[in-house]
Amino acid sequence: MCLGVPAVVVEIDEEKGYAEVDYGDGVLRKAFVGISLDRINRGDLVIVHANVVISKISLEEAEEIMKILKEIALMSDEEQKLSKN
Amino acid sequence: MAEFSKFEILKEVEILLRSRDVANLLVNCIKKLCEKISEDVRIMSFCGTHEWSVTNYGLRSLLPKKIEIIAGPGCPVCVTPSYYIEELIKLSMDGVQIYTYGDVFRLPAVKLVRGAKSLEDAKALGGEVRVVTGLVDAIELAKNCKDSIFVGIGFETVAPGYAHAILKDLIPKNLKILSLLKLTPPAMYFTVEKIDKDEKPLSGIIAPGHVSTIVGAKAWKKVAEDFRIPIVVAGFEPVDILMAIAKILQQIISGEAKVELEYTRAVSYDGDLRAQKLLSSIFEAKEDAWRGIGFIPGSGLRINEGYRRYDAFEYFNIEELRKSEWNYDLNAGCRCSDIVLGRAKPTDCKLFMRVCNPENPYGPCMVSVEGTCSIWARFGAKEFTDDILEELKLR
Repeated sequence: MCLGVPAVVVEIDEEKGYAEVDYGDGVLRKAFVGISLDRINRGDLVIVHANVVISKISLEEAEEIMKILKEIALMSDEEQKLSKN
Repeated sequence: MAEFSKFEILKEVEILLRSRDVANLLVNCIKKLCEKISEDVRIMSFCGTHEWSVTNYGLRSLLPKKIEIIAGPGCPVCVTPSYYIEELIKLSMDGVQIYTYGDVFRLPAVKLVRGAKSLEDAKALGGEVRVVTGLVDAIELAKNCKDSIFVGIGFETVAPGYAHAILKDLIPKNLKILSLLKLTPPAMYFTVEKIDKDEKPLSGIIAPGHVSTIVGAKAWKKVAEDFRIPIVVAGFEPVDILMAIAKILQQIISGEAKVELEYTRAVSYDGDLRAQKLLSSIFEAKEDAWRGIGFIPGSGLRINEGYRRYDAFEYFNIEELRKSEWNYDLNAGCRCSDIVLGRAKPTDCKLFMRVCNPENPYGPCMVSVEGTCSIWARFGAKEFTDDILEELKLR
């Protein structure tokens, strides 16, 4: 049961520990914040699983992996060029 | 809105994580690493969503024949004992409102209860069953309603949500939770031990990424150390999984057996400490039954004594399944327990796509989107690309 969907936190009810999240379709849906509330702020990108916020996506890590993958993709381009020659 | 630029970054990352070029390069790297290993490599992908990615993206057909990817017990619906479904069918027909996830709704029981073999049948026969996407929905629907049960099935991912709702008293008095939650680290330990004893030992494990957001990568350390097995916590995109495989191979080559983290954008080594504290303060871990498998020590979560007023077991006098009374609870001929434990593939089962298919599931693994049989039935053709090409003499 690992199916998680990324969403943006639009509102937080700190007292009850609810978040209103948007999965990108503009519809606000309620989710429990299962993790530490102080990790979550409005505007954060989170992973929601069956109405429960289970993680915050680290944009720094996402950008880091993007950098590595872009380098790999570039290597792939060069490899293809070499094989064509 | 500014927030949505973050979605754009994520989308860009996703494109790269699904990129054919990146995947091909990683496959080449995996092939080179494989040349340095003499024995066959058996990797278990523990989570149902990993199995979905492996099968949906046809990753098995890209990998060297030496590497076998085995699906593990990562589907809580598949391992929920038939007995609890039978009890819920009875209660629904006695007028108790049942709120359940969509896959549990179709989960087939072994016994026919008052003409019904699933909650879906029970609803057709007048039982009070309603499908919800989670506890949040059930809470809204149950307000000012009659006695109700939310069927709390899942792993550590949903458990903090239930615990949070109980702790903050967000649940209406008439709604009780039937906690059938399962814990994954004891299940992983049990599975690896069983495979080590009965079959060829595993060479590596791809650990569940989203369970690890809660329990942290540290939760798999004991398995890695006790069985000397490399474990990588991975994300769910195809490139995530290929990177995890490459990391496992590197560990095999260097003779290491440790827990590594690939899914760094969502998981930390320690996990979420508040969620872990929530779980230990609301629930107690108990020996729990896994469908067709039997009891696994410390693998189930039940609401603890301090919060019994939320507990459906207590309120509706539902008897716990006892070890002494446990019977093998799969339909005749069904091999789901072997499939869950990685001892058989769906295609090894004589019923697969003959008697048992997604339209008419006969065994529990054919129901949920995370069940191995259901995944192979819906997306498995890509697994046989090689066989089909050979048959058509195109390879």
